[in-house]
Amino acid sequence: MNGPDLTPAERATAQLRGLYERFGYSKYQLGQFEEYSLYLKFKRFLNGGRILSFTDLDGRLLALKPDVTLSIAKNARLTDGAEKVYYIENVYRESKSAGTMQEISQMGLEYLGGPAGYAQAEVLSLAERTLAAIGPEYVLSVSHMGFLTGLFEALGLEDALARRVTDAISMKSAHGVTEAAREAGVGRVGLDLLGELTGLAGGFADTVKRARRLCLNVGMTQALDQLEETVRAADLEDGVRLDFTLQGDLEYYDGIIMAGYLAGLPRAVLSGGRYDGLMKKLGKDACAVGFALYLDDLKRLPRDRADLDADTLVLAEDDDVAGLLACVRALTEQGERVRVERTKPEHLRFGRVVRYCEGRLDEC
Amino acid sequence: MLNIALPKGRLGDQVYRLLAGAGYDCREAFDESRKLVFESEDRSVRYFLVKPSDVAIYVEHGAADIGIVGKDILLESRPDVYELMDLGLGRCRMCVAAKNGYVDQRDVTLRVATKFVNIAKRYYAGIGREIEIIHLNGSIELAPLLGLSDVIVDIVESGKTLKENDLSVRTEIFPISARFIANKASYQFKGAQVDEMVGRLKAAIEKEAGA
Repeated sequence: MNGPDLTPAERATAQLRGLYERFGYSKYQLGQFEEYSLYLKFKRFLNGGRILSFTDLDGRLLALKPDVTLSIAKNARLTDGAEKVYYIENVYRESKSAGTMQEISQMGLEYLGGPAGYAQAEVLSLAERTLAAIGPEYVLSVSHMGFLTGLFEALGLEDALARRVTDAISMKSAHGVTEAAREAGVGRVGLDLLGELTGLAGGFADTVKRARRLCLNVGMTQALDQLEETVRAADLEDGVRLDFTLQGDLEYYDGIIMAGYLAGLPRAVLSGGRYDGLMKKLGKDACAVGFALYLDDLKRLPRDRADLDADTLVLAEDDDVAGLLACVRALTEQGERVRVERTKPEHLRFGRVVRYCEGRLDEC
Repeated sequence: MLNIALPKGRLGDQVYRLLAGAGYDCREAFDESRKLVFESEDRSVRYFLVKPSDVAIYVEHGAADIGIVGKDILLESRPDVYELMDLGLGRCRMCVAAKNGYVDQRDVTLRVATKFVNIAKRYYAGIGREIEIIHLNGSIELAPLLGLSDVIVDIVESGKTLKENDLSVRTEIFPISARFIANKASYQFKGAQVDEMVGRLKAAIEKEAGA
């Protein structure tokens, strides 16, 4: 018997809800709207981009939420233990390529206020199991923001200049990094280090070893220690790549960060990390870590039965409604997807075509 | 199999020759045919010839794993891709040019004709100048001659076209050269192959420069 023809996104959602709930995450339902001022204040967390705003009947300026994490972090009450939530929500963002606003479906989870070491390891492990549940071929890349902030501190790179350098690092552009760092007045040793950073990606154990040689201060060493501890705890030393070109905003992200890729899809489908910096800005001193999975992109994965519109087309040639319905029901009970028409639709595809006439089905 | 988007024209031909010399040749004659796709199964490469300004689009959307594109196009459209190497080929400059004898009046909104709308906007925002953009798709040099704009923002190679049209460079905004770009997701799966290609290409360029 065939089940329903679920899309990879639908199948993943159903499967992952069970997984997250077993780990103690409860479903979180957000309101559609949020005060616009929240997003204005945290514009950089949202990577800029336009927001759909409107004036409510009582005069308040509201927005269709462009992000879920921010609302969850803002509303978290951490007075009585940690908050573990997962969500399946639509967010509204600007589409750079289409030049219009876009509705994006996301599924994700957040672990707020837990013991930092354990929370990081659990979320990383769940991110890996999330990818494994969807595609046979996937890559989970990780990095640690502390490594980069430590390096910038050692080199004396400040905000605006650091941003130009991080842009070039995220493009893996060794020449771009050198150019930006030279303009920022970074010395020779620093230039060499930054240049090496763009190529610092690969298998976890090997890349950590290479990264250790670049450490200039305690911050960088600690970042590597913490990352190693987390990955080891999640038992993923052979399951993740380490990629120092991966990064989040320096102001909000300050621990592990991750990105997940599925073979055949052109963008990362999963992204997340630890954002204590954001919590601090919201006036909460707590560890926060989570990730989001972009469900829309999963729709592009191949589907099992997508090539057929129905398994069986029944051409009804007489008006015996009761008999016809009984036949159709019998077919569906065998697991077939059935469609009834008077004549065969030209643009649809069927596994087989049968004719209903005088109380029985005949092959055409 | 690596899918490679090459820009149609001189730069694409030049890069293909370098890649072919580095062991990524296609048996199908690249120069003689009018085909847009070339494939070599034993070399595990497939080349597409696309419009230069479209290369980054093919790569960002994953239709090509890697591509060769001018820095001007990367700065104009800012695609989310890796920029793995500066090939040093196809060198030119992004410039502001004006008619000889033109005197800039700082109290008037500057009319700027260009194909590169975002680059022009960013440049003038950076120096705090108010402008009006006139978006053209070609023959930009004509705009100041006909009084359509005060200045143009465009690519200058030798400066010959400008000279012939009684124009000259006023400011150089940034230098341009061809870049080797890669799709961020496909790099996660094919990184080793891509890195090997970058290495071999680098060697081929150095060899050519030394010869």
